Amino acid sequence: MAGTLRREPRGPAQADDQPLAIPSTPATGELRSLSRSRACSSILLVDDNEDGLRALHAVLEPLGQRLVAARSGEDALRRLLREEFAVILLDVRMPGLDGLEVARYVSSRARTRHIPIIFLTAHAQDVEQVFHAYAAGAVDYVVKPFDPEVLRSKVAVFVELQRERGERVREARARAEAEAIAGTLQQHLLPDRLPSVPTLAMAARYRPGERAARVGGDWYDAIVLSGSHVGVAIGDVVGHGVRAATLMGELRAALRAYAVQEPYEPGTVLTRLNSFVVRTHGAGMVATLLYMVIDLDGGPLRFAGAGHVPALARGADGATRFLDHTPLPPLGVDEHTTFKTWEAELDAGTTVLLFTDGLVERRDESIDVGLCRLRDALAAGPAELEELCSQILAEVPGGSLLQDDAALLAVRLSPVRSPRLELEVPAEPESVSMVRHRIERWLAQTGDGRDDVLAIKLAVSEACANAVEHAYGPESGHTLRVIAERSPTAVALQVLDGGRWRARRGSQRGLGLGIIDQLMDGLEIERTPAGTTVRMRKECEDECDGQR
Amino acid sequence: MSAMGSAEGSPDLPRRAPLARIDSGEHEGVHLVTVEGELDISNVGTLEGAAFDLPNEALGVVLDLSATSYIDSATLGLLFKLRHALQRRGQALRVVCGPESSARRVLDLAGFGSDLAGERDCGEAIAAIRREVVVHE
Repeated sequence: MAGTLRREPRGPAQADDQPLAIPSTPATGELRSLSRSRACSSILLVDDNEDGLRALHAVLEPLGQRLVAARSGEDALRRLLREEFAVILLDVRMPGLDGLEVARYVSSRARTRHIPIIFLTAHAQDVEQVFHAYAAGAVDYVVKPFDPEVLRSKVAVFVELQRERGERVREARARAEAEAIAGTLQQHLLPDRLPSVPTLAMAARYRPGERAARVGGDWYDAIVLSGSHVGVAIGDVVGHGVRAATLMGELRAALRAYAVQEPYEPGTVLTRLNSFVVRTHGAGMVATLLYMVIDLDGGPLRFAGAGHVPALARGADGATRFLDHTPLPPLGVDEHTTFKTWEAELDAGTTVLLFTDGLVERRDESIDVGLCRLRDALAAGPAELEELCSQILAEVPGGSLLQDDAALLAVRLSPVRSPRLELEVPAEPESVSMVRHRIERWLAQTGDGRDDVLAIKLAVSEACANAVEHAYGPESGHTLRVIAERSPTAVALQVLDGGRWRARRGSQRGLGLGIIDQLMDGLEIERTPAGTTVRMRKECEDECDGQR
Repeated sequence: MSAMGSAEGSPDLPRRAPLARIDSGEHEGVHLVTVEGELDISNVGTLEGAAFDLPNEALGVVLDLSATSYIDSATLGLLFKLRHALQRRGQALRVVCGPESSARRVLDLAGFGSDLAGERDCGEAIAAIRREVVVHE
């Protein structure tokens, strides 16, 4: 039977909730059938007069509903706070809060506004007031002495209406809540944005299934493991809704922990993650996962899979292939599974697309058809990763036919792995600004906005100025070299000259060096007979996301 | 400037306009020097000439760096030298630059505080010098 909102107050304080001991009047067959076949609703009877209450009780008892008596307006309000009512029968004239005031209260509260009120009055002059009260939510009135049949049928109608409405509202509310919670969880548990790594382009998308309640389970993540390694993951927790979303969050947190502990061995990470899942959830959680470690310095892609669809790769030449590996069971199936690390040599500029089966699976066809369709979409897709993801989601496998939720994550190592700038300029004062401007442009071209541009410009200028002013004698024709190299988290700079470093004389001695020292994260001066090399290093400004 | 080689392959930069435009003049008895552009070892000598070129009766120097996008240790060195020289002559020095400017950051690095660069604009800086000198007298 559909759940009711009936809550039984208990304890001595609620003793007067007990049905009043009044002999019942005979009921009609129709009403009896209502009482037998329906869930119980509560009806609030408000009257300061004990006889009035008794009479109401006698009339309504055959409806088989729970009758709750309130002996004053204040009492009625208390009960309204505690319980949901199908209908309120409300005496107009009461000491203290009268019936009209109670009605105003009922109609002013969102939780009670929908409850129909039937006013009871013995006074003809009340009727006009009651009409005013219609505006305040009352739906009807009955003048005492009332006809039992009429009152009973009126109440019965409201009880029935409330039940229908209640079921609709409850169902809708439960559905909306489940969808909203799962959706919210999913949003919170997926990365707000992917970490920013200068030489690694990344884009990701998540799309819930065709019904919002199908949200949950699919996920992705990207984790900066070190200055030169980034882990990317995509997975699918079996199931949907709030539970799947929660499990996904747990899995994501655990993966991050294991990934940082074991930054170069995806197989080991999955092996540990699997035993974690089995230990903590037993058979309660099954999840597929594909985890890859990208070497920013150009080493092979290393990855491990647990029952997950293989990733797709698209070379700079446009050729596509699956990054195949021997299938192993999903996480949570067998505690003793050992996951192997696989390697793939990828040319610089290769795009790797990780995805979940929601993107390739359709009820009416084999998954191979979907995989081929995705591969074709990748081959034909744009180079820019955000556009690529949007286009794939829009085209594969055709909009509303997506039945399951789906996630995809695209990554591409940029062809220039460690951007480097090398300049050789005349050792003259005029060269300093030239170097400075060139460095500034290079920072803008290769950076992601996290450089302390002024600090780097200043440090390079100061080192160049020192070389110009002090390294050489008056003879001309010398040059100085500047080398700038970017790693994912820092900019390294070298200024090389062919002379000897001499500190400035006089009151401003070492001012330039002092500036470099204050601004840079590393400063090293190497003097040899062949010349002086100043090595400096400046970290990017904020911590990369993912390194928590 | 002579030709520049570059291992990167995109070497020659176009010849540029002068790094900075430096102007000076007298305002309410104060020597005002304005620098528009960048200051470094290649042109700090020009600034030095402009700054020291003040009449003996001037109350002091206001160096307006509001339109200066870059200064370096050569500029700081000049400021130390200028402040020292002006102090001995009983003349005041004020520097004006934006609160978030790179010039401000470099001044901060050198520990130049609000006594040198505390005013928001040239008008305030000139007024400050006038107050200071009146008090002294």
